[in-house]
Amino acid sequence: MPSMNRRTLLAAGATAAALTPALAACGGGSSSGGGASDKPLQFVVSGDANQGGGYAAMAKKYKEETGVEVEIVDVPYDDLATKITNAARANDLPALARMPSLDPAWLDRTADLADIAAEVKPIEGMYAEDENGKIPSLPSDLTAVGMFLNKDLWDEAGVSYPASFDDKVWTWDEFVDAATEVRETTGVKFSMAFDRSSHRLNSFLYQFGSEGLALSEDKTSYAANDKTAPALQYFVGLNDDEFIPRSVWLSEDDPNAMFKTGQVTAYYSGSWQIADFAANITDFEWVSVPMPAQPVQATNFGTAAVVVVFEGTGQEEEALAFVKWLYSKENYAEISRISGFLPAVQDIEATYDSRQEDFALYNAAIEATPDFLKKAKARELELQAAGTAAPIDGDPLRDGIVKVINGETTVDAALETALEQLNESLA
Amino acid sequence: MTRSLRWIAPTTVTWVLGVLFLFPVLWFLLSSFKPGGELFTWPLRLFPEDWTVSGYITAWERYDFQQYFLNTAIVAVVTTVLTVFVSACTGFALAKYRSRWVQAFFLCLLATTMLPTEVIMPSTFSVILGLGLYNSLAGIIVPSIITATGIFMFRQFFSTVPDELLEAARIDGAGEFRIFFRLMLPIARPIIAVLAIFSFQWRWNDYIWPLLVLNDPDKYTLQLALRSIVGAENIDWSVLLGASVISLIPMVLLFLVFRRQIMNSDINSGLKD
Amino acid sequence: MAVTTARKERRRRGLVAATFLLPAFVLFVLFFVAPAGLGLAYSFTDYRGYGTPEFVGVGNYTSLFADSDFYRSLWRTFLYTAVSVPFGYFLTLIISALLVSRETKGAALAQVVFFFPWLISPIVTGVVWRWMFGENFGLINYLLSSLGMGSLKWASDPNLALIVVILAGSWGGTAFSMLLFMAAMRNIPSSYLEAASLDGAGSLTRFVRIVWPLLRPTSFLVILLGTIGAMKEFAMIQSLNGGGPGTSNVLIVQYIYKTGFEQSKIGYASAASMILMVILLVIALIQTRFDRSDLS
Repeated sequence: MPSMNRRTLLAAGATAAALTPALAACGGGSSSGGGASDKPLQFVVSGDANQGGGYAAMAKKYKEETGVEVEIVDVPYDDLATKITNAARANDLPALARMPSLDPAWLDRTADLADIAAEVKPIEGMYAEDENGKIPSLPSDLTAVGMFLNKDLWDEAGVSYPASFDDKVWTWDEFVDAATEVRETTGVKFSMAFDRSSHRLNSFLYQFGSEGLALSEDKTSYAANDKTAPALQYFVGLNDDEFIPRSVWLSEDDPNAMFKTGQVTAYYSGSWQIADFAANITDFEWVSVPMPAQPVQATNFGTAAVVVVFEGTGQEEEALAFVKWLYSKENYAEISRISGFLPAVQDIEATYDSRQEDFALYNAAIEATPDFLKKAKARELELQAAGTAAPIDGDPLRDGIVKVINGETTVDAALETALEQLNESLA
Repeated sequence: MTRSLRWIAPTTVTWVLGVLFLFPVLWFLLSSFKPGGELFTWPLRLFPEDWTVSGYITAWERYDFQQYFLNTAIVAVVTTVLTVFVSACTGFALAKYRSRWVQAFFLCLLATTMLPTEVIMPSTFSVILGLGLYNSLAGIIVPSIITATGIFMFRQFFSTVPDELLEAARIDGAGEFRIFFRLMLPIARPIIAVLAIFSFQWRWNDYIWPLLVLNDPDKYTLQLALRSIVGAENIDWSVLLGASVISLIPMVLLFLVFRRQIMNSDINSGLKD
Repeated sequence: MAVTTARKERRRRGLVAATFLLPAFVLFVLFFVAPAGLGLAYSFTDYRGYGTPEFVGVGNYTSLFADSDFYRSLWRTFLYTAVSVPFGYFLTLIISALLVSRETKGAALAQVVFFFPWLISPIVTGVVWRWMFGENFGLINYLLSSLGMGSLKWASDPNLALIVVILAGSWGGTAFSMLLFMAAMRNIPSSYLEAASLDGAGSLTRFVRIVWPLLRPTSFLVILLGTIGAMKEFAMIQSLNGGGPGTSNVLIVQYIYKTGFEQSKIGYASAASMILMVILLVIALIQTRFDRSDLS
């Protein structure tokens, strides 16, 4: 027994030690760059499979049409930025990628997409050029904030709600009253679940006439107008465990799951939930409705992600050709349909496989939003394109409001701290 | 209390605790058989109303589990063998040669567990690049070989082996290396089995090094596939649950195999002569 | 003559020790010293992850020591560690003793039951425990209210939230210590135990007076690693309650992420990490001093 164990261990050890240098050689074979036209184009994305596999389908179509193979590499969202940053350091960037935002770490290695942008016409404010006129990215798709109602509950309580922008849109006070009535009549637990993110909160602020924590015109500082603090206070007031459950903002309880239990009358989230709800809500009927205005009709929308092409891979030409193909009207409409994208390109008529009315509502909401938002988004993108600001991964406004809800600080102090942090990142 | 009734107390306590432990697991397993619409219901239901394997099917079709199992298994096996070997050598030296420097080195090794990954990660990546290990399996194997836990385990174990045993072997004329291979390692079989289980599980769960170091997505590991189910804003729970269960099965099997090594070792330690 | 031989013998053994330690030493230098050294260097700069870092001396450290959130997180982490480590230790010790005992029926199956939770990833663990202890929709509160007792604020009360973390952490971490204890207990010669029972000692006495002291080396290991692990807790608490409610349960590693990495303040994060490492080293030193397993 003992000697067999020793021998086995030694043999295993020797094999492993011998294998390691061999494994050092084995791997992808050739490293970075040159003359790789026979290698597939690597397109790094995140969550494509979750979203219906639109990019995978388009890659397949592209191969059928042109014979060029595009390899979709689906990477976890939390690790995407790390992957690309380190790939840049290893000089092994993929041909193209779909990133959440522009990062100074690899910004200078992106190709200029100005020609394609001129042809394709993305929506204003969703792409930007740097000081040299280079356009480093194109928007992949838009997402917009919106509100869902549990139709069965509202119908049961007999309370009416605007179904589209043609109806008289409600104010927040009106909505709060209506949702409270629904909750009390039907006896469910909460009136509304609200996603724990400043992205959603910003749309709330816009609806009160604030412009959020906005970047100044000269891009040197962030500031908030005087409608901001009262709006934030209103929101904090709603978090009273009757209207909105405090556990969502305080302890990251899942508002999506809460809405699905059917015990919440409304859910303040966004367009990306449509596909999930269509598949996974089977117990009750749900609708998208216009958000309240007090007095401004607005939603927060923006690029879900941007598409960039990297230089130095030896495959720039092929990658640019693919991007151009992808953004042609026909193909872009196709991928919007498959993945449930809100189009980021002008004049696209996307027909969706289901819930067309919901998508139409979101597109209408984007149109109805005042212009200041597009300009603000454009400024943010220009700042990113310039590459001078430090990327902020966290969410200072949200973290501040969480503290306020927990009684740890006041709205004014939280707002000030958030602005401070944002301004620091510009330094 | 008569002899035959002595099993009642320990068995009861064990199984009460066991049920408490089992409950969350049961929920997890049963939830994996629920359709997406049933996962969040009120009031809560333990058992699925509508038993389905759709989560499993989607997970299996979307992710090439066989490829991932293979990739992860190769790395896990090679790394585990090397890890056990290096840990045993190091633990042995730390236990039996007690000079100040050696003990200081022990503290240094403990220190490797004391920095968060994000601090170490960028520079470790530079080292991997510098050694030319980028895009190779060695690049994910080599950084994972030293583990303070494994070394510590062997150190503690070997410290219970009395020095008299070593002395006796030395007097018999055995060289140090021979003592190690022929005497110490066989005695350490239970610890080897335990570390093998740990190491396998750690490598099974690795995702960051395979993601950063490997270029070819066909070589990615299981955990990476699982993590990509967590989207930016949404999680597809039924797929995640199904995929998680599938990924656990090999480890459970492994445990069943290695368990006998731990539990059934007849060798009663170096204390027996 | 004997003295020289002894010294030669010590040197020879020293060389052998060095050979045994060589692989670990090389890997240690390459994959720890170099990166940690770089981290230390960054802690004296204002590095933001890109571009060139600028030297700021001890600026990061002074900001750190002036930040009350830092102390709050540290204190909360100490509290968590002080409660969860003993709880986990005794729980696992008892379970291991029960599983190894010949008197327990179904021990083999029970082993698998106790082992299984360790295999589940932190994301899924967080979700399962969240569903169980959810304040509004969780199972435990549902059971409590159906039994007539009110529901508890598992998410909104900081201490209750911490208790849930401790329970989930012990549940998941038991297998690790359990395997170590079981392997160590198997090593205790049955002759000792037989002699004791012949002397009239019951199984509990045998355990407390013979087995437990002999487990000291393993206990030291489990407690020290458990302490370090608890001090570094992040992924599970993050997925269970995000450090909530609010920021009441933000432990030290989460603090480092929030104030450092999330804001691209790599220099600051490195400084905080260095302080954490020093604290952990001190704890390790203290525990090593108390480790009497060397006195055989």
